[in-house]
Amino acid sequence: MTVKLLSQEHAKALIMAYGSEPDRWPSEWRESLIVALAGDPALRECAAAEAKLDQMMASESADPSISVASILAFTAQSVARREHELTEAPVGVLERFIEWLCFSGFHSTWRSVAVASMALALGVGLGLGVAAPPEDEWVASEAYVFALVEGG
Amino acid sequence: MEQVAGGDREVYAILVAHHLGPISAYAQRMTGNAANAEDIAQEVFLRLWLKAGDFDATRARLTTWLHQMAHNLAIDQLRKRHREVSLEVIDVPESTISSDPGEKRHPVTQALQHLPERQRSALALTYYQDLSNREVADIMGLSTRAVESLLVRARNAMKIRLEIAQ
Repeated sequence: MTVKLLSQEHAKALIMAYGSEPDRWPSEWRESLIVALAGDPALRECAAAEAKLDQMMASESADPSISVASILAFTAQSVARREHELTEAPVGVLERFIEWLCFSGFHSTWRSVAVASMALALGVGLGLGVAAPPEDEWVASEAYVFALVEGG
Repeated sequence: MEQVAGGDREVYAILVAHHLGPISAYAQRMTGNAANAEDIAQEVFLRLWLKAGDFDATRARLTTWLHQMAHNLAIDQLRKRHREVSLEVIDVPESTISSDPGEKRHPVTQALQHLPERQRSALALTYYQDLSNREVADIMGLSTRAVESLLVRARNAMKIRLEIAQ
C-alpha cells in the first residue's frame, strides 16, 4: 500500500481540525498522518495540545433523557391530527353549509329571506357579467349599411 | 425504510430507539437546552415516519439523513430565537440565550455554546456524532475543506475558552 505524501503544513492543519486520535482522522490521510507524526517532533507537539482538548471533550456528555415512548406518542398524535384535518375538515365545512341552508323552525325564518336574496344576487351578478355589445358597434354597422344603400 | 413507508410501526419504533440518542444529543449540543432538543427530536422522527418513502439509501446513510433534518431544525430554531431576543435585548451572549437557567454545566458544554453556530455544528457532528468528513460536509452543505476550516477555528476557540495551552 502506498502512503500519500503530506506536507508538514497540511498534516498540522488536519491534526488541528480532527484532533489527535487517529480513529478520527479522514481515512484517506490516516496512514500518511501516522507516518508524518512519527518523524516530526513539531507535529507531535501540535498533537499533544489537541489531545488535551480531546480529553476534555470526551468527558462531556449530552443526555436530554428523551424516551422512545414520548417520541412514538408524539408521532401517533401528530399523524392522527393530520389525518383528521385532511379527511374531516372539508366535509365539515360542506356539512355545516348544507345544515345552514336546510333550516327549520320559525326562529330561523330570516334564513329563507337570506337564501332567496343570495339566489337573486347570484342571478343579477351573472346577468351583469354577460358582456353586451357596445352601442357604438351597432351605430357603426348601421351607418355602413346605409352608406352601401345610398352609394349603390 | 420501505417497511416504515408502508406503515410498519414496529420497525419504526426500532429505528427510533436506535437513532434517538445521537439525534437528541446533537440537538442538545446545538441548542444548549433539553426542551428544545426534545422538540427537534420529535419533529425529526415525525418526518422519518411521514417521509420514509423519500429516503434514498444510495445517496446517504439513514443516520446522515436524520442528522441533516436535525441540523436544519436546530439552525432554524437558533435563528428564530435570535430574532426574538434581538427584538427585546441587545448584545445578549449566546450562552445566556440558549442555556437552561440555573443549570450547572460542563465547561465543554459552556464553551460549545459560545461558538458560532456553524463552528459548533461542525465540531459536534465530527467529534460527537462519529460522522465522516464527507457526511458532515453534506449535512452542512459545504465542501470538506470548508468544514475543516470551521473545525480548526472551533477547536482553537475551544482551547482558548478552556484555557488549554496552544
